Amino acid sequence: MTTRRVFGAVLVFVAAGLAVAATFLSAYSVQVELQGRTLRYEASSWVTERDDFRGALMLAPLDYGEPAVGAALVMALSVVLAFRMPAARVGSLLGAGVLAGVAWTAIAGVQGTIDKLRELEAPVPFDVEQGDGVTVLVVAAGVGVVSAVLHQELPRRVVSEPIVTEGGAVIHQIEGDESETPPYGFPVIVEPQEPQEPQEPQEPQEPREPKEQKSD
Amino acid sequence: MLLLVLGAALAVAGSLQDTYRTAHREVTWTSTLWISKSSLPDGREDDAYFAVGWPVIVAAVLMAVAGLLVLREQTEFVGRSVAMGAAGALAGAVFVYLMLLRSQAEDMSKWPVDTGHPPSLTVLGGTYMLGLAAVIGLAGAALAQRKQEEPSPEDEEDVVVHQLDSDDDTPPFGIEIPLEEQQETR
Repeated sequence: MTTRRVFGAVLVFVAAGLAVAATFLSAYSVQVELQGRTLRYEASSWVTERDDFRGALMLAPLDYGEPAVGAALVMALSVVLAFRMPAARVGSLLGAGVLAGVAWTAIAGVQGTIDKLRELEAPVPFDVEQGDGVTVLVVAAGVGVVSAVLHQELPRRVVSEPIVTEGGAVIHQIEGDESETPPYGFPVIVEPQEPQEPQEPQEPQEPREPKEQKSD
Repeated sequence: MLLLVLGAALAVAGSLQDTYRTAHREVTWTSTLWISKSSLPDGREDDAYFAVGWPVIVAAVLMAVAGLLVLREQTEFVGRSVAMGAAGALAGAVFVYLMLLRSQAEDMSKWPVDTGHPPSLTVLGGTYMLGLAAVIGLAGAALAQRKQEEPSPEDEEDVVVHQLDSDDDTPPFGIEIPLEEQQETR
């Protein structure tokens, strides 16, 4: 596994963690200043965190927690499985795609709710805000898409078929092997006496160096 | 590829259809992914409460483009990756939409009943089309992945034999080795 893919796998985990964390942060909040008191409604994607209005505003959480956690699970599982089954790597793309779709739709849902609340002609001025949870979810989706791409294996032909241009040579350096390349590219077993007889298995010999080299 | 394009077409068509209808105090609002239309005599139209048309359209377009990219050998890898991401995005968007509708229905069930008509939310055909599009898209993306894995083992097993015009036997090492005397004279 290359460094790029390991880095991608770690980032996929980070994105999945961010996505799950985002669902527990505030999605949107409504705040009213009334006679010197501050009344506040605040909801995550799971539950109403705070409701000083005691249900009078009839607001409810926007349920995007389950899809976001589902996407995070797909991403994390695919990274774990990819260590044993390389084909599972594509699951991180699927999870990142789901997370991106979830984040965009969640933003649209929260923005729609905020716009509707702002349009209300309430007798008391109130503030409606998008919470940090939606912002973190978008960041998680961005990190998720980038990391899922890093996590993939590029097409094999690009790696295995280096393009040799005219006049240029591709040199592969084998680590830990200090020996020089033999004259024919591999050790040649020289049989000067009886080449017709079947070969006996023998240790490969060092090729003889030419006695004299002629340079042009 | 056909499944990807079919899923994309269904998603676009579903986004234009009515997805749900709410009824409260003898007024109904019928929504698509873009707008809500009331049953009042003035036929008032408003932005939909959950206006998630763009995520669905963008995911559908990406899915259709991926379906075309998969067909060409040079762009097959990109096509497969985009197909999986776009099908996931469509599925994620539809999943969230269904959850938003569920929370809306639960929310409405708590509203006060004052005229004998309890508030209600009815899911319409557009939502079912979107759900079907998401499933078809995921199936298409999964099949696009399988397609690329099949030919690779065959390529490794097949040996390509090139027959040259010469009748000479293949030398013992596969290449002709010149004798040392010949090498020295070069």
